[in-house]
Amino acid sequence: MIQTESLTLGYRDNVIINHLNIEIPKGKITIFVGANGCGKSTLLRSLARLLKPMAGTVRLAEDELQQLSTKTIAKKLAVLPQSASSPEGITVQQLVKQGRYPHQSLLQQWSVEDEQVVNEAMASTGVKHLADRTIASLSGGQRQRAWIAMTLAQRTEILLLDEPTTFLDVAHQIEILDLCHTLNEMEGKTVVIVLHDLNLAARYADHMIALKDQTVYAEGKPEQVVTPEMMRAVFSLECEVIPDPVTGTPMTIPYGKKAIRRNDVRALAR
Amino acid sequence: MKKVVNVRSSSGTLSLQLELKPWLMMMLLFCSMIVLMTIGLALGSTWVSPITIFQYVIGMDVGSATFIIESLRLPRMLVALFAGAALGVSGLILQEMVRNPLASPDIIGITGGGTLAAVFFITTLGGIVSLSWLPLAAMGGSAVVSLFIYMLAWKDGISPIRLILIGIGINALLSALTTLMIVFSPLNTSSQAYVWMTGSVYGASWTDVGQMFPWVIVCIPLALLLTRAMHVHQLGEEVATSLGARMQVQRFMMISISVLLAGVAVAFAGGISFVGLMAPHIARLLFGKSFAVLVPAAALIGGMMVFSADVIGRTAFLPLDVPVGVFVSAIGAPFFLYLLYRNRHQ
Repeated sequence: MIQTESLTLGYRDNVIINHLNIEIPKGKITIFVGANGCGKSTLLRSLARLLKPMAGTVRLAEDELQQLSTKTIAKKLAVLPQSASSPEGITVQQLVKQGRYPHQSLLQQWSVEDEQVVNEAMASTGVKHLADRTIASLSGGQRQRAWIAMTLAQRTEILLLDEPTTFLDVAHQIEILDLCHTLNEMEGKTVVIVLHDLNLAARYADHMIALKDQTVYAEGKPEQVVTPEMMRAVFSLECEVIPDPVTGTPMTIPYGKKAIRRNDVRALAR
Repeated sequence: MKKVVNVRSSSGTLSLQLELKPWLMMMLLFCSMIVLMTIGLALGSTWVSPITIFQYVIGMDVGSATFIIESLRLPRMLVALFAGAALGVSGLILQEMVRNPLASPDIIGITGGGTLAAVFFITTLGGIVSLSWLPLAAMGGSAVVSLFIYMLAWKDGISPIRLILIGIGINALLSALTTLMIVFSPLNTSSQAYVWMTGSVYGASWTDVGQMFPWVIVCIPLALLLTRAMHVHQLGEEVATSLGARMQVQRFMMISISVLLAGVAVAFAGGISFVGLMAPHIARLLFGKSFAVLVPAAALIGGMMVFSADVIGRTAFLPLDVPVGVFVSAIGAPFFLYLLYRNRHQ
C-alpha cells in the first residue's frame, strides 16, 4: 500500500532515517516501535507528506507521493499528528466536519454526503452524543476519539496515527486501540500507528516494524519481532518475553535493577 | 442550541450551511449603521434634518442642503466607512491566520510602511508633486514593506509567528525613520504630516470615494472566499496539510488581501490605528467564531467605529476639526472594555 524506496529523512544535516526500504501491507495494522528519538514519528510524518524526504521516495499504491497534489493525498490517506491542538471553543461536530475539507469545494460546502459521512464518523467513534460539546470540555479519551472521527470523515483507505495513546490512562489506551482494530476489521482500513507500549503493540499489530540506527532492525509478525535480542539491541534492556496470558502474543517483562536484586535474593534463598 | 439551515440545490452543485442567528444580528447591525449614518449626516455646524437627508437619498431636490450633504459630509463619511471596514477585515485576517489576538496591520508594519511613504511624500515632495499622488505613494509604501517582511519571514515557507515578530521589528524601524523625517522638516509640513499620521479624512472627495470603492468591494468578498481555508488552518499546520490545504498558497492570499485592505485605508485615511485590532475583537465578542460571519461583522464594526469617530471629531469642538484617529480610540476603547467586562459576567 505504502512503500519507501531508499528513503532518507532528517532535519538540516542531521540524518534520522537512512536509505530505508519498507512496505506497509494493505488492510493490516502496522505498528512502528523503537526507542525515543529513533525516528518513528519522523518516518510516519514523511509517509503522510508532512516532511519532505532528503532523498528517496515514498510511494502510495502506484504513485509517488511527491507527485500527487496534497488534496489528492488527503482523499487517500488521513493522519492524526501528535501535535494536534484544536482552536478554542470548537465543538466536536465542527471539528469532525473539517475532515470533509478535501472533498468540498467553493460551491459544494455541505452536501448530503458530507452530512452522512460526518454523522457516521461520529457514530463509529462513539462521540455522536457529544456532538455539540466543545473539545476542551472532553476527557482525554473522548478528545482523541473526536480527532479520529475527523480523520474518518476524510473517508480514506489509510489511517496514520502518531502515538494516539500518549497521556491516556490504560482503559482509554485500550479503547483507542480497540477502535483502530474495529476500523481495520469492519472497514478494511490500512492502519499505521506509532506506539510506545510494546505489549499493546504486540497485541494489536498484524505487522510490526522495530527501528534502530536510522533503519529497520526487525520487521514481521509480533512473534518474530518482539524477542529478548530485539529488546537488547533496540532498547538496551534485558527482558523476559513470555506469551501474553490473554492473547498469546509476546509480552515483554523487563528486568531492571530492582527485579535483578529480587532474583538474586530468591536465588540465595534457594 | 444553534439554528442552522442547509442550502442545497437539487442537482447538488451548490451546497452550504448557514447559521441563522448571526446573520439576523448582522441585519440588525446594518440597520443601526444606517441610523448612525443618518445622524452623522445631520450633525455639524449646520443642522440638516433627517427628513431632508431621506429626501436627498430618494432623489428629491433639497435645495441648499444638497451642497452640505453631497459635497461636505457624505464623501467624508464614505471614506471613513470604507477605511474602517478595510482595516477591520485586514486585522481580522491577520488575527485569525496567526491565531494571535494581538496581530493587526498597524502592529506588524503594514500601516507603518504606508505612513513612512506618505510622510516622505509630504515632507520632501510636498511642494513639487501634486498631493493627489499621495494615496498611491502610501499604498506603494505598504505593499513594498509588506513584501519585504514576507521575504524576511520566509524559511521553507512562511511561519505566522516569524511574520509577526519580523513585522514588529520592521515597524519599530519604520516609525523611527518617520519621526526622523518629521523632525528634520519645516514646521508647517511637519504638522501636516502629523495630522496625516493620526489619521484624517478631512477634505475627502468623491474622487477618493471612487478610488477606494473598487478595492474594498473586491477585497472584502475575496476575504470571504478564504473561510474554509481559514477554518482548516486553525487546526494547526500539520492537520491542515494532512487535510489537503495548500498552506503557503493560501497564506500568501490571506496576507495579500490583508495588505491590500490596510494599504487602501492608509492611502485615503492616513495612519488610523486601533481599528484593525479592535474591530475583529468586537466582532468575535458579538458574533462568535465563524470566519464567514466575522468578515462582514468586522467590516461593519470597523466602518462604524471610524465614521462615528469622525462625526464626533468634526462636531465636538466646533469650529475645530479633530483628526478622526483621535476619537477612534476614544470611543473604541471604552466600548471594547465594556464588552470584555460584560463577557466576564456571562
